Parts: sequence; C-alpha cells; structure tokens
Amino acid sequence: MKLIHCADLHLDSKMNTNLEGLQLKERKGELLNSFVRMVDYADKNRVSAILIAGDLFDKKNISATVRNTVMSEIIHHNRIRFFYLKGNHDSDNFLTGMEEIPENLYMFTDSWRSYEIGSNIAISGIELGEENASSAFLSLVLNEKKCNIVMLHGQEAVSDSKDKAEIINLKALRNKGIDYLALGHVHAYKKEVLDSRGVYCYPGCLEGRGFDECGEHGFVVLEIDEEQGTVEHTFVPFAKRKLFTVEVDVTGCPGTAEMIVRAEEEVKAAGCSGEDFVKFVLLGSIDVECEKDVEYFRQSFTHRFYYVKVYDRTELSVDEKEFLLDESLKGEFVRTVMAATDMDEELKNIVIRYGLQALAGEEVQ
Amino acid sequence: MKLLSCHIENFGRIHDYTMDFSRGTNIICENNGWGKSTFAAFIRAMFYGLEGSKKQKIEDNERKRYAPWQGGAFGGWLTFETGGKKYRVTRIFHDKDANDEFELRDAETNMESRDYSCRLGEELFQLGHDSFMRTVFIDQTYRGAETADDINAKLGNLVEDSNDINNFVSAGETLKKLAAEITPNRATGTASKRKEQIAQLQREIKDGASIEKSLTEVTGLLAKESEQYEQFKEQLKNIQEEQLRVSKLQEAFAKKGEWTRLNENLQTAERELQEARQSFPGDIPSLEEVIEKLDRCDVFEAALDRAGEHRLSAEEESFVSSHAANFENGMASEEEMERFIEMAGDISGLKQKLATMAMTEDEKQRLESLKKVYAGQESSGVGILSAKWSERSAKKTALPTQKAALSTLQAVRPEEKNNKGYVLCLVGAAVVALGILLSVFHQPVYLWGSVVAVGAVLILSGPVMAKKNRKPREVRESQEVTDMRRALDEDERFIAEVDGEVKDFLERYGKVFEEYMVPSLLAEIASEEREYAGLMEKEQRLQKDSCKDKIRELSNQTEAFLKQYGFVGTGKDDISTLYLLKDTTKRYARLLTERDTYTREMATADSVRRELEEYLVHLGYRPTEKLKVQLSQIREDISEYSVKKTSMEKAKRELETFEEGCDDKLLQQAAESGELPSPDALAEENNRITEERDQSKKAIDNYNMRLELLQQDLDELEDKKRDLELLQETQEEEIKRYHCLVFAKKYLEKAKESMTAKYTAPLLNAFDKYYKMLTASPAEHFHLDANTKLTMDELGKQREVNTLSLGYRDLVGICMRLALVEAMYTEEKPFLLMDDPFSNFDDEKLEAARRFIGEIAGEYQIIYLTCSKARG
Repeated sequence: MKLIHCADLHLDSKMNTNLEGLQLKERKGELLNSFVRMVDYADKNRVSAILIAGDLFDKKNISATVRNTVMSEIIHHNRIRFFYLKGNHDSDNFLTGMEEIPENLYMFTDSWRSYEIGSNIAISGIELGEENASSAFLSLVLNEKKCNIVMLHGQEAVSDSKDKAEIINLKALRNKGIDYLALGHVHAYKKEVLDSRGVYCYPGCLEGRGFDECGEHGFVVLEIDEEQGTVEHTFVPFAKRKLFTVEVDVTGCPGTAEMIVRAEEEVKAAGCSGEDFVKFVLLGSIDVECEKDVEYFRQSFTHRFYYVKVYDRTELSVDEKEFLLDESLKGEFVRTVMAATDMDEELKNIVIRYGLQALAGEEVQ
Repeated sequence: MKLLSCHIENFGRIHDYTMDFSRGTNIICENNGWGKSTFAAFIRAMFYGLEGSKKQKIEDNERKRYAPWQGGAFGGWLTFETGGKKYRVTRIFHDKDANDEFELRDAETNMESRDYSCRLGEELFQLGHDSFMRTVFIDQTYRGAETADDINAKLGNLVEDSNDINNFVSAGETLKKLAAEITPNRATGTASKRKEQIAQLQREIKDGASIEKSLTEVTGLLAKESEQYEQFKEQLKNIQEEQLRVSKLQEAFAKKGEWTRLNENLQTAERELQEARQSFPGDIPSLEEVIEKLDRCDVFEAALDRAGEHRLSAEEESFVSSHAANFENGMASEEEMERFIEMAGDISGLKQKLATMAMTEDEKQRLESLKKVYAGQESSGVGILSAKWSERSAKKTALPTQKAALSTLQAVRPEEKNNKGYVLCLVGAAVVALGILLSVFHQPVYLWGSVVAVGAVLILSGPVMAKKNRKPREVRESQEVTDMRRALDEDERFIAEVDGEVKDFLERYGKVFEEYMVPSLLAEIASEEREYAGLMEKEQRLQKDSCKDKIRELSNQTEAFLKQYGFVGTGKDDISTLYLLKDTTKRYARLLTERDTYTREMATADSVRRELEEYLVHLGYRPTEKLKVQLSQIREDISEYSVKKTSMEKAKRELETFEEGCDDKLLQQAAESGELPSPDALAEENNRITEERDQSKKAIDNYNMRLELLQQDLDELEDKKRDLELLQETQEEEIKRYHCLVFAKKYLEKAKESMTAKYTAPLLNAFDKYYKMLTASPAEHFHLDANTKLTMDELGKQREVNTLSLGYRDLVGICMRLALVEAMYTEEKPFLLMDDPFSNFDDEKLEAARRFIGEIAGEYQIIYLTCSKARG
C-alpha cells in the first residue's frame, strides 16, 4: 500500500515579504496548485492515503478559494483517504458549517485517535496543545502486531519543554511500537532513526516560501508491505520553484562586473534554474574605492531567475598606507577620517567610501 | 594673460567702440555716464557671458541691463593672449542664453579654435563668475570676507596639482545634497518623512492590538455556535431517524400480512423445490443437456428405424446366399447388361427381319399363279388405260345428250340446256357409292379405291362440263351446230378406239370384256400386277440376305455372358434371360446395399445407445430399454424442478423486495410495538429544530464573515508590522547613511581646511606685501583663517574687516584680492580690471594707490577705469 506523508503546506500564506503584485498572486496560486498536483500525483500513482501532518493552512481563517479548492480535491478524490492532523497554524474553521464532512477525510483531536486501513495498518495521531502536551506521549498505546504510523505536529526534542506546547518528546516515543513517525512543523526534509523499530520523518514544506526555506521541497511516499509490516519511504521533490541563497565572496573585486562574474560561477555551482528564487549575499572585504553597484548587480540577474534579491554584506577595507603620503585632498580626507574618534571602524570605512565617491564625482552609495 | 584689443558693437550705451590694450596700465578716464562700468561688464561678458538672465530685477539681469535701447542683438569681440597664443572671442547676445552666439578664433590664423568652450572664463581662470568678480575684477566695493570654494580650490593648486581638490566643491555639494535628502532634521528629508510614517504605523499597530482580541472572541463565539450547530444537526438527525422509523413501522404494520403470506409462499416453494430435487439421484443435469440427449435418442431411434427398413427378409437372405457364388467375381455392370440386352434386341430384330423376309405358302402359291400371267411382262399400262376408259365412259354417257342437243339446236334453236354436267355428277356419285360398297365388302383396296377415284373424277367433271357447254348465244348460234356435230363425231370415234384397246388388253390378261366391268377389271389387273412385283422382290431379297450368321454370332456372345453369372442362354429367348440377369443383378446389388445400410445403422444405434446409457449412469440412473422415455422423464423432472426453482426465487425475490421496503426488524417491532409517536408531532419538532439549525448556520456564516474581515484586518496589521519593520530597518540604514554623509562632508571640509591652512601663510604674506605698498606699514595685525576669511586685531579681539571705514575697507579688499590673485595664479598672471577702486581713498591713500598701480603694472596688465583725472 502506498501513502503520502506531507506537512506544512501553509496554504493561503501571505508571502509578501519578497513578492508583490502579480508575482505575489501567481506564487500564492502556485502554492495552492502544488497541493492539487500532489493529490493528482496520489491519484495517478494509486496512493491509498495522504497524511497531512499539520499546517495545511497558514492561518486560522482562510480564503474561500483555498477552502473550496481543498474541499473539492478531497471530495473528488474519494478513493484517497485524507488523514489531516491540525498544526499550530490550522483551525477546523474550514469545516465549519459543512453539512457533511467528506467520508474520506479523517481528522484527529486532542486525544489519541487511531484509524485502521488495509489489513494491518494503524494510523494514529493526536493534536498537541498546552493541555495534553505532557500526557500525550505517555498515553500512547499501540498494537505491536500492526504496522503503526503515528502523526504529530511539533518541534522534535529529546525531552519535554515547559515553554512550548508543540514539543515532540522523541525519547518518550521510543519503544512504543512506532514504525513510522510522520511529523510536521519543520520546513525542511529530515529523516532519522527513532528506535530499533521505527524512524521519524519531517517531509518539510511542499513549496519554499522564503529564503529561510531554501533547497528541495516535496513529500514522502511510504510503501508499506502489509504482510511484513515494513515501511519503505522515499522523498519526492515536488516544489514548482526552489529557493537558493547564493553567497558570493567578492573580496578583491575591483568592480561590479567582476562581482557578477563571481556570482555567475556560484549560481552555476548551486544549480539554480530560471524558475527559481535566488538571493545573492555579497560577502567579503572590498576596497573603499571599489566600484560596487548593487542595483546593477541585481538587474543583471533579474531576467535569469523568477525572483532575485541581493544582500550586500561586504565590508569596506581601507589601506591606510596607501594614503599616508598622499598630499592630495583625498589623502588628507582619508587620514582625517581614520584619525577621527567619533566613529567606529565600520562607519569610518563607509564615510571614507562616501567621501571618495563624492570626490570622484561618482554616485555615493 | 593679456588683453590685446576689443570692439563693442553694441553693449549698453556703448556703440561701435574699439580699443587696443597695451601692457601695463591701460587707463580709461571718462566722465560719469560714459559707460565705464558697462565697458568692464563687456570685458567680463566676453569671458563669462551675461549673468542673471532669469532674474527679474534689471540690476541683477545683465541681458536686460545691457541690451541696446533700440533692441536687437548686441555684443562684440575681444582679443587676448594666453599660454603664448592669441585668441579672439566674439559673443553676440540675443533675447535668451540659448540663442547667444559664441565664437573663438586663433587671432593669428583666424582659424576657429576649440581650445576653449563658451565657458571661457571658467576654463581660463578656473573661477566662476562670482569668484572672478571677487579677484580679477576690482571695484570700489569689497565683495566678501570669505573666499569662494572655487577660489579655495584654485588656492589648493598651490599645494598639490591634482584634481581632487577641484572636485571638493561638487563633492561637498553632493554630500550635502544627499544628506539633505535624507536628513531627519527637516520635514523634507526622507528620514524625517519616514519617521512620521513609522510613528503613524506604530499608532495603527497599537490600535490594531484589539483585532486579535476581537478575533479570539469571535472565534470563541464561532466555536460555541458550531457546537450548537452540531447539536442541532444531531437532534435533527435523531428526529429524522425517528420519523423514518415511525414511518417504516407504520408501513410495516400495513405490510405485515403480506410479509407473512410471502414467507409462507417462500416456504412452500422451497419445500416443493426440495421435493422436485429428490427426483434426481445425482446432480441436476441442465435442461439443454437433456434435450440434447433426447435429440440423440431420436438419432438412436431413427438409426433403428432405418436399420429395420433395410433389414433383409428370409427370402432376400436366401436370394443373396443363392447368388453369392454367381456374383463372387463381381456383378455385371449396368452398361454391360444394357449392351447385351441391346444385342439380344438386335438378334430378335434380325430374327424378325428374317421372319418378315420369308414367304408364306400362300404367297408362294400366289407368286406361282401370278408368274403365269405376269412373268416376263413389262408394265401393262393399265393405269393409262383406266384413264382413257374413264374418259370414254364419260363421253359415252354424254353422247345421247349431245345428240339430243344437236337435234334441238338444229330444229328450234331453243335455249340450249346443258345437262351433261349434272349427269356426270350423278354418275360420279353413283360410282363413289359403288366404291364404298366394295370397301364394305372387303374388296381389295386398289379395287374400291379405283372405283372411288373414278367416281370422284366424274363428280368433278360434271360442273366443268356444265360450264363448258354454257357458251354465249351468238357463238352458238353461228357455229354451234357445226362444232357440236364435230365434237360428237370425235367422241364416238374415241369411244370406239378405247373400247377396242380395252378389249385387247383384257384378252391379253385372260379377261372378258364387259363394258360395265371394265373399270373393275382394269383395277384388278393393276392390283395383281403390283402384288406380283412385290412378291418377286421379296423372293429375290430373301435369297440375298446374311442375317442368320449374325444371329448365330450374337447368340453365342450372349450365351457366354449369361453363363458367366450362372444363367443359361437358350438362343430363343435370351433377351428375357438377360432381363432376368439384369433384375437379379439389380436386386442382388440392392439387397447388398440394404444389408450394409442395416449393419451401419445398427452400429450407429448401438453407439448412441451406449452414449445415452453412460450419460444416465453418470447422472445416477439405471438405464432402461426405453431410453427416450427415461430421458423424457428426466426432462420433465428438470422442467418441473426449474418451475419450482423459479417459483421459489420469485417468492424469495418478492419477499426480499418487500423486505427492502420494510426492515424485517421493524416488522418484528411492528408485531411487538404498541402505540407509535405522532408523525405530525415529529414533523413539527423537525421544523423547529431545522429552523434553529438554519439560524445557527446563519450565525456561523456571519461569524465566519466577521472572522474573514477580522482576518483581513489582522493581515493588514501584519502587513503594517512588516512595513514598520522594513521602515525601521530602512530608517536605521538611512540614518546611518545620513550620519555617514554628514561625517563625510564634515571630514572632507576638515581635510580641505587642513589643506587650505597650508596656503594661508603665503596668502597672508602676499596680503602683507600689498598692504605695505599701500600703507607702508606691515599687516601683522591681520589674520587669515583656512577659509581665507580675513580678520584684524582690534581692542584685543579679532574683528571682521567689514567694521572698518569705507576707504580702509576698500584698501584691505584691494590687498586681499591681489594677494588672492598672486596666490592663485603662480604661472600666468591674469589682467586686472579695476573699476575706479580708489574712489573712497583720501589723498594720502590715493597717492599710495598710484604708486601701488605703478608697482604692480610690471607684473599685471591693468585696465583701470576712472572718472577722475586725479585718480587716473
């Protein structure tokens, strides 16, 4: 039997940190469409059930389009069973007022609930909250003879935390008979051994939304041998677009053109494609007189990628010796600034850069 | 640098004025109103163009100020020498700057020069217009205490020949401008504006804190309402289930009797089906299979019937046995037997022919008798003679009539009445009757035939005769008698001849002539003559024929053939024997076929029977002799079973259909239950809860709508928080940038001051030099700061020179300007344009000023303008 384990879809996410206008609208649509595509994938690949381990939605109150689309997908794929465990971003508002909850939608509550599918598979889950956080793991009792899949949403930890309710105490879940611990909350794919029997896995989010969610995103396909009770899991990259943070060390570059050349090399090495989001972080130390046009740098990549952002984290360096014997106003200026006591070193470098750019008749930036 | 000459075409009040300049001092001493200041402005305009074109006041707007009163273009040219080259600059001024004309030519080659642009003054002196006015142009007013930036820049060249100092001004302005754009200290600065935005956002965010509270409250209400809604749904579900149950129970009450009947029907049908099933010792065969086997029974019976039909009787068996030896080597073929039968026919034909050809005794006697009369005779000609006789008889018969007619004609010539034809007809009829009579009495055919023929001729001759004698009266009248007589004679002669001829003929054949017997005698002779010829021919043919040999040969073959099959030919009736052989052969063959068919059909019947018996055994039956009856019974049993099964299924279906519509448990309950709740009460309850549920749904929708709006507000609040964050981030960066810009400007100025401090000493020395020239005392109480701001010690404090008397201030100004010029122009000295600078000097100073001019004239070309000869 095939199952899909996904989480943290964050549908209806605002995503306006980087995007705006039509691009923002398009990306929001893509986020929702990825869910639709995943359900189609399940349908085409004869997947029996989709486990959504929390944060299907980004907020408690979601738009009608998202609500209707999700419901429509569930209703129209009645062959597939949807096991939906709410996360800290979710609420069941999207079900409120519905005459009938679809038969193929299986929900969880704040106490352990278990569903049996196939001949030998038990899918159990509990929605963690402040009230049940400490008792949840102790109260879990599983049938050893079953292939046990447990769904939870929270941050993995090896012990309880009094501060956060959504802590998943891995230690408390060991040796409980779990074959596969289907987790949600962490936005990057992660799979580790839980105990001698089972593993725990975060599938990560389905689509990266910001540059804190770089890398491959998708879901995990579980293939369960019901007779043997074994679970094979495969991560399936599925995101329409990827996000990359490309660090470019521009140390020693005399100008923007050389920085672009270095960035090209980094982009190539990172494997960025035209559909992707790319954030360049310019690093290293450049001379105060170095010509650096960050906007031009950004523009030179905008046509190459879906979205480009540039962070300038370069440091300015001043070669004092160079100006020591310089009798010009420039030399006098650098010496004067370097001798100043009302600025820190970083500021001095910027001041020197500004002054020199102004003297050179260049744009001060 | 030196001025060489100039020509003013039109400029202010000066018109068509040319002047050549010499080295040293060039004094233009004219009365007030001549236009000295205009002249000085012209020289300045040749280098810098006109100033203040956009100014409204005429004193600030040189274009308006120096435009000719009569209007139109104005300007002129100026020749000067610099860097060892001579140039002539021409400027024609029009209504606005854009229309002004500028031309620079090499004064020696008159070729257009591109060494300088229209910004000639700036490029030559490295000074702006104002700075030019502050240095090279010296009038009676001291224009400022501080040097302009470009003067400082120019001064900077003293220290270092680099361009950076030249960009100091623009760098300072750039930094100042950028800082001013950002400055948080003025309302126009972006940082200031952003500060306002931040404050606004912070206020809005503070105000928006209640959104989350509202959201929580509405969410709580929604949850509560949702719970209520679910309860309503549950209640409604229960009510509806109860309604359904009651409805079904009511229905069940009504249907209970029917259900019982259907149950009984089913039980009966099941029992009957079970009974029908017991007819089968083993599995129930399919009806199709049994029908197929019954068809095989028909095949079996048909085979038996056919075998019976083809079974040989004892006589037939005996026949076959008796002929088996004869046909041991096979039977004669049909063709062969036909051939021999045909051969026997030939023998018979030959024998018959032989018999036909043989003469009877009577024939032989007759032939002998006839031979006596007719032997050696050729054809008697009896036929011709008979014809003649007939003609003679006819004529003789007509003779009396003709004679009577002739007599009549001769006598009275009466109308001739010809009765000869009618007589002939009557005679002919009598002859025919005679012929018929002869035939009745079995006379030979030739005899009665001849009689009849004669009679017929007579009958036919009658009308001819009658016609012949019916001649026209006129002819008869002329020749009738003669012709009639002649004819009559001829007829009598003919009769006599024929009578003689016949008499001879009859005698030759031994007949006696009797007139009335002649025709029959002639006919008899003709008949005998033919009979004789026929017998003679037969006798001759018999003597020639070989039939007997042929008959013998064929008979031998036939006998041999018959013998081959056990038959004996007699030679007499072989054809019968052959037919017997044929029949025997045919029968023998048929009987053999019959016997084969019988054997085959019996084999078929046995095979089918075995098959059927095996089938019955397979089904658990003991086969009987009457297989068909047995199978028919099975078929009937199957049909019966099928009917029972159908009945049972129908009964079951009816029951199931019935039970589908009414729960069997309900039926049980119906049987057990007492009074049911009122459907109306249930419906009322249903309506009430439905209404409450709908209201709850509306409330939920409203809460959801409110939540959506609140969420939008919250989203907006989130956006504001994000915007605030971004703004604060930007603000922080901009403030940092602002400080950096301010610092940059500050430290750039400091650097510049540090730089200018290096040339204040030479500048102060120059000032001291010129001050001494004019006052003969040192300028030790004067000070100069890094910005070339001049101050002087007075009453223990440095004071600005503006506080000095007018004349003294002019003196200090002239010294300072010359000091600046000296400091600024270390290589090529510029000309000095002095517009009556000493007008405020007292006589003592004026004298010193004259000496001063004299002294500096060696170093500078001076254009000195004054209205006073005392100062000139």
